Amino acid sequence: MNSFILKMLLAATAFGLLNPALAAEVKTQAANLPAIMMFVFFVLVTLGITYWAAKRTKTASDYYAAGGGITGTQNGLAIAGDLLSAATLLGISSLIFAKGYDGFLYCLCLIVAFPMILFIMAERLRNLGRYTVADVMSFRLAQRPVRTMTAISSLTVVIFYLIAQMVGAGQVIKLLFGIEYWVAVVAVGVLMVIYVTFGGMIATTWVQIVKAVLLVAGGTLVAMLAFVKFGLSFEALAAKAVSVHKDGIKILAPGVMFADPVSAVSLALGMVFGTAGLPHILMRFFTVPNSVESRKSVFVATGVMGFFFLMIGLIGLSAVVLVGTDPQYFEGGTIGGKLLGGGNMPAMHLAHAVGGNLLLGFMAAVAFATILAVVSGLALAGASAISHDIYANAIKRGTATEADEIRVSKTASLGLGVLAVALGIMFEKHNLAFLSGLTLGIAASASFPMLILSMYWRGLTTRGAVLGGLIGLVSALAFVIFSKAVWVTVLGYPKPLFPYEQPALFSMPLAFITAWLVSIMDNSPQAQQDRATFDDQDVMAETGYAR
Amino acid sequence: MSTDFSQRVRNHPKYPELVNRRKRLAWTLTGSTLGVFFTFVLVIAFSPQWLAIPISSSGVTTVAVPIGVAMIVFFWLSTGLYVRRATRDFDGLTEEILREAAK
Repeated sequence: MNSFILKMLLAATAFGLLNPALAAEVKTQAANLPAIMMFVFFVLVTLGITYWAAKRTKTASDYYAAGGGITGTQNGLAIAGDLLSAATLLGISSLIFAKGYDGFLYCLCLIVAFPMILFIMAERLRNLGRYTVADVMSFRLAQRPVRTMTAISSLTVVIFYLIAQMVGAGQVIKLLFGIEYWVAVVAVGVLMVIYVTFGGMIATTWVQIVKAVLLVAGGTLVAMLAFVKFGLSFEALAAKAVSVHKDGIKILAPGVMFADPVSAVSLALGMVFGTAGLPHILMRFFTVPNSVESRKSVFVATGVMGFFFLMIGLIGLSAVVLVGTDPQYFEGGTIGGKLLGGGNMPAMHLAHAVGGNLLLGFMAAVAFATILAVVSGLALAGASAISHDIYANAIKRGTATEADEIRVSKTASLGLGVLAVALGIMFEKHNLAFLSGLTLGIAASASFPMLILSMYWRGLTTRGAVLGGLIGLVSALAFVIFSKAVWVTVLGYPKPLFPYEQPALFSMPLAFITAWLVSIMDNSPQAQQDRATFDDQDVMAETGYAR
Repeated sequence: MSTDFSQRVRNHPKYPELVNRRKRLAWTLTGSTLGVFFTFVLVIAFSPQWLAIPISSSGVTTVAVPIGVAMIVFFWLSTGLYVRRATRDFDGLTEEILREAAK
């Protein structure tokens, strides 16, 4: 289907968009040639995957959930890939470079979500849902209101997350490849739409798997090449890092970043429960054939992430010594001044320090690949919410044909692509530090609580779920808007109305309490039916008998 | 997907055993992983100096380093434990219940 158009598009993207960049780059900075060659190679491989996936995507199940044909190990790699974004590779290593142990705390917050996802969510999600999180929520609750509410919170998370990724992508790619910001953003948008519309979940998953393997391999190589310079002794590395870092011994223990106890707890809550509510991660549990494989995928994902986070720790700390003391990585050669290319670059400079231009090129290509794979997963999650939840079930009440539904989904992913590119270009110069707290805050306050309550609490009614979810969404948004990061930094008011940076500690309980209060007071016929069907849902959740 | 079938599953003598064993394992492990993690977060929030103590008098490495690594390993091992226990205890039981309820 459409294979001719697809081939033309593939050719146009691979050569039309990237060649001018390549030509311009060779003249300005020879160092980036390996990066561009490796990146072009990655794009060709992923377009090949997309072509292969397009031929295998026939039904709605293929499109949304890879036909349930992904194994536990493959899915584990894809889940790890979804979580290991460019922000993890570049952002966390640069935080460790700047602040030491505090940066490593982010790794711990992200990984602890996965044991919990396994113990109380993974099997149930697989048994109750088909394509989206809203399938699970509306298993016993009323379809239209619950799906609409869930789709709105998923879309909010997806769009904010996409903006953050797009802006980060534009800046990183501009730096690493020396191409214009808008060209980088458009290239990411075009490739993302191609993967998602033509290859659906099959392509999105395999692009993610390829990238996860490249990222872990590249990260391990950089970490080990650096670690060898310290005789593979952590104490030797730590001692040297302490002696050259301006904060000295403080970098080996948690410090200033979490000085305020309320913010520390709120940040941890948002990161842990937000990760467990991210739609593009949860949708991966629908791509495996049964709950046995869905269990296995979390075990693999946790292992891969844990290993990679240890490598990130080594990369950040090694960069303190190998990048932080080398004048060639600082603007004007001033050690301790501004890093060349900005604060996010320590991991890239370290790759250069231990492996020269070739390794730098490889890691730059991996960073680009990482961004592409993550935005594709996000776009598919957003498109599924629009087509499966809003169009097919809320508007058409389940009467839409599969072909119509897939067509809407492809149009939606094109729309999301255009929106992401436009917002990415619009927000180029803005300080978007608040976005990660916002997305995780919303996921932790709107998606996670309602999902858990719908699966575990008989008393949850449709009204309770919808109002609880809306209160979670609105309160997380409001707390972030009234916090310093938006109210003062972006909007320019003198004083924040909400004194903390992170909303979860306040918005999560609000969502839970609202859902509980509304549900216990709800005695409508719908509420009685919601409660009465809990037993059937529970049997399905425990045994997955229809599969 | 009939309610009738679901009723037979619920009435199966071994169904409560499946539900209770899974519940016990899942919530015990959730409690211990989140408990360990949030205890750590509270120590950071209220008493971070505890984590700045060096392991040995001659070195610089603090206790925070092995604790962080140990937590990552613990989280991973706990997922392994769940997968093992679930495969051993739940899958056969589920199959037996479904088979007998289908009769």
